[in-house]
Amino acid sequence: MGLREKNVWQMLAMAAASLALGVGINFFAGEPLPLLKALPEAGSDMPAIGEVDADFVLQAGNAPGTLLLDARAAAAYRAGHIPGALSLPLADFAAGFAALAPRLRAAALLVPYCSDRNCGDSSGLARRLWAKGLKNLLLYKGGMEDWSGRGHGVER
Amino acid sequence: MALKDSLRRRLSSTWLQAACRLGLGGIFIYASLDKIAHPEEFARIIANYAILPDVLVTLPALVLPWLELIAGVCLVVGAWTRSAALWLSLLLLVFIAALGVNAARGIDVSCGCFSTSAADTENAWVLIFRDLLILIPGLIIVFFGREKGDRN
Repeated sequence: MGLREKNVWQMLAMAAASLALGVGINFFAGEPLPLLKALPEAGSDMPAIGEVDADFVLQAGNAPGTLLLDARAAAAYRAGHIPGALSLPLADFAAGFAALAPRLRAAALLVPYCSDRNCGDSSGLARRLWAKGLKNLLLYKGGMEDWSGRGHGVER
Repeated sequence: MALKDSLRRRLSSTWLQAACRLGLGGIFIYASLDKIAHPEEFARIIANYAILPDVLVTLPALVLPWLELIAGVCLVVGAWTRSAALWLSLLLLVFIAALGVNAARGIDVSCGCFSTSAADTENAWVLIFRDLLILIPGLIIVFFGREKGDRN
């Protein structure tokens, strides 16, 4: 196969270029990652945040400035969500956030929810938003189960 | 002997080598882009593999995607092809080992292969098989590719 010294040098050169680009771009990034430290858990500094119930969501959910955020997978959102809610799956946070960032930042109140009282995606989403500096958050813990259990309309 | 020679000739044919270069290079260029765009997400995926200690997660998350991109571009434009194919083959072996560890543990982690979406979770054995398939063109280039200065 004729692997020779030159291949070793070329491989080292590629590695060095990657190191320089990766670390260099990170250095100039808006929020650089810590190089030799563990990543902080996103939003680990978030205090316990307030909760809202179905009545609040019903009345204020679609008020101007309030955004309901569905933290479940996109398929679950398509199968039925609280009217007016936007889909922002926790599992796809980076892409979803990039797409919705202007609307999220313009909103006065963000209300994440997920499937039921035991699901963790809504609080996970709240922590991710908190880490992005979006701190006007209230959780609708009851989620989809509570919402449809009370006979409120579901949007598809 | 004649059979071996003819196989070697086929594997080092210009067409097959070009197809391997474009295929492997293209796959890795595509795979690198989303990871370059979202280093933090990729770092969390690497952390989730639970192989590296948490303090050593960021560096590979920043550097690996660029290595994939640079080696991929080298293959596509036909420069430093053997070195680039060797890098990508080594990376694939690392990926296979990392997936293998988690397959043996019986957990499906999000792959981080082509996207940094945590929704991109598949059975680890399937991903290992896919990586083995992608390894084939890499090895064909490393072992049968011809570069200037090679003896025939």
